[in-house]
Amino acid sequence: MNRNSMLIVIFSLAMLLIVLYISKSRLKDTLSINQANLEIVKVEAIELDNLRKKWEAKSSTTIINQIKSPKLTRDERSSKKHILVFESLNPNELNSITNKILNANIKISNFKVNRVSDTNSSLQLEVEI
Amino acid sequence: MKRFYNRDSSLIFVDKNLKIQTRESKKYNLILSPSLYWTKIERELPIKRVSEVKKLASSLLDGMLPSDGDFLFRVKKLRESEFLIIAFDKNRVKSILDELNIELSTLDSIYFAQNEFDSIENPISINNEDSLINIDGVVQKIPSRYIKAYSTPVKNILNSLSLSKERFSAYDLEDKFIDSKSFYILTTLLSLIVILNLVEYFLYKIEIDRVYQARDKVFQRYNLPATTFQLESIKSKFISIDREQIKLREKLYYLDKTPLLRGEHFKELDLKNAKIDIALKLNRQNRAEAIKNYLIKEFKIDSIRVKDDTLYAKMSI
Repeated sequence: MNRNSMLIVIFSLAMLLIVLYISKSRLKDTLSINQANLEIVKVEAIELDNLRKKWEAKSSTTIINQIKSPKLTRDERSSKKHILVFESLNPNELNSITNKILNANIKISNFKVNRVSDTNSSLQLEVEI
Repeated sequence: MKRFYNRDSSLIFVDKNLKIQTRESKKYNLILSPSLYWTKIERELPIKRVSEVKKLASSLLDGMLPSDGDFLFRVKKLRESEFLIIAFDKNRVKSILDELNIELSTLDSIYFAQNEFDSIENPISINNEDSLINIDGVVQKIPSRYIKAYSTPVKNILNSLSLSKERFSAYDLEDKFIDSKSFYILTTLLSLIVILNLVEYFLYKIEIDRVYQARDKVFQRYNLPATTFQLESIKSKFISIDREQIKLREKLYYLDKTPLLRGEHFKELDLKNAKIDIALKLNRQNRAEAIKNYLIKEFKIDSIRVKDDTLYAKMSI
C-alpha cells in the first residue's frame, strides 16, 4: 500500500470516527432530553389524572348520592347541573350536611342556607356536573 | 506473467551514469541494470513461502551486501525450494536518480533487468562497452569485448518489452511517515473505535425508541391529548376548578367561624357566582362595626347595611 492510500485510509477512518462521534453525542443528548421529558410527562399525567378523578362528573354523582338524606325535598338533575334542596333541618342536621358538602369533591355553583327558625333551616345546593 | 507497462509512462534502462529512455514523458518506469542490485539464487531452502524467505533475505545475502546500505529485498520463487533474491540499496538508487535528474514524484515503478530480461537468449548491449547476458538464469553485466554473438541494443528491446509484476513502487524509495506495521495497528485501533462508536450509536437509537414507546404508553394509560398544548389546557382548566372550589370552601369556613355573641346567627347565606350575600341577626346595632371589620379581612364588601338588628352584606370572594 503506498503513502497516498495509507493517508486516504487513515483520513477516511478518522473522518468516519468524527462523524460517528458527533452523531452519537447528539443521540446521547436527545436521549437525555427525551428521558427528562418522559419523567415530566409521567408527573403531569399523574397530576392530571388525580385532578380528573377529583372533579370529573362520575365522582360527583357518587358523592351526591352519599349526601342525600331523608330531609331531601328536591332532587333535580340536568345534563349540566344537579340541584338538591333539604328542608326542615335542625342545627345538627344542617351542620352534618354542610360538612359533607364542603368536604366532598363536588363543583359547588350555588350554596344557599335559609334559617326559618332556631330548629328549622333549609339548604339549597347546586352542583356542576 | 508479463504485463504491459503504462503506455503513458516512459521506460528507462538505468545503469551507473547511464539513462536509456524510450521517449519523453511525465512518468517513468525504471529497469535497473545488474550493477545497481545484488542477486542470489537459493536452490535448496527448506522453506516453501516467499514471505518467509523475505524475512531471511538479509541474512542469506550476508557478506554480499555493503555494510552501509539501506536495502530492500524482492524474492521470487523459481521452483520448489528454489528462490531468487534481489536486493538493492535504495539510497544508491535515489542518488543515481538525482544524477539523472529524475524526481521521485515522476517515478512510477522500479524493475530489475534480472526479471525483465531473463527470457532473452541473445546478449543485450547497453552501450559500446557493456552488455547484459543470461548466465545460468542470472542476468549479468559483462564487458562487450567478451561476447562474440550479436548483441541487440537495449533501446530496441525496451520499445517492445512487456513488464513483469516483480517491481517496487516509488513509494518504497520514499522515507515513510509510517511503517506498515504501525499503519495496520493504527487502522485496527481506529476501526475498533469506529465499531465501538457504531455500537453505542445503535444502542442510543434503540434506547430512544424505547423512551418513545414508554411515552406512548403513558399517553394511552392516562388518556392524554396528543399535544402538550392541549395537555396544558386541560390541566389548567382542572387546576382552576380546584383553586376556585378550595377558595370557596375556605370562605365558607371563615364565615362559619364568625365570632357571634349569644343570640346572634346567620338568617340567610347565599353563595352564587363568586358572590356571597348574607343576612346576620345581631344582638344590638353597634355590633355591626365589629362584624364588618371581621368580614373585610377576607371579603371584598360590595354593600353593607343594618336594618332591624339584621346586617345585610353583599360580598365578593
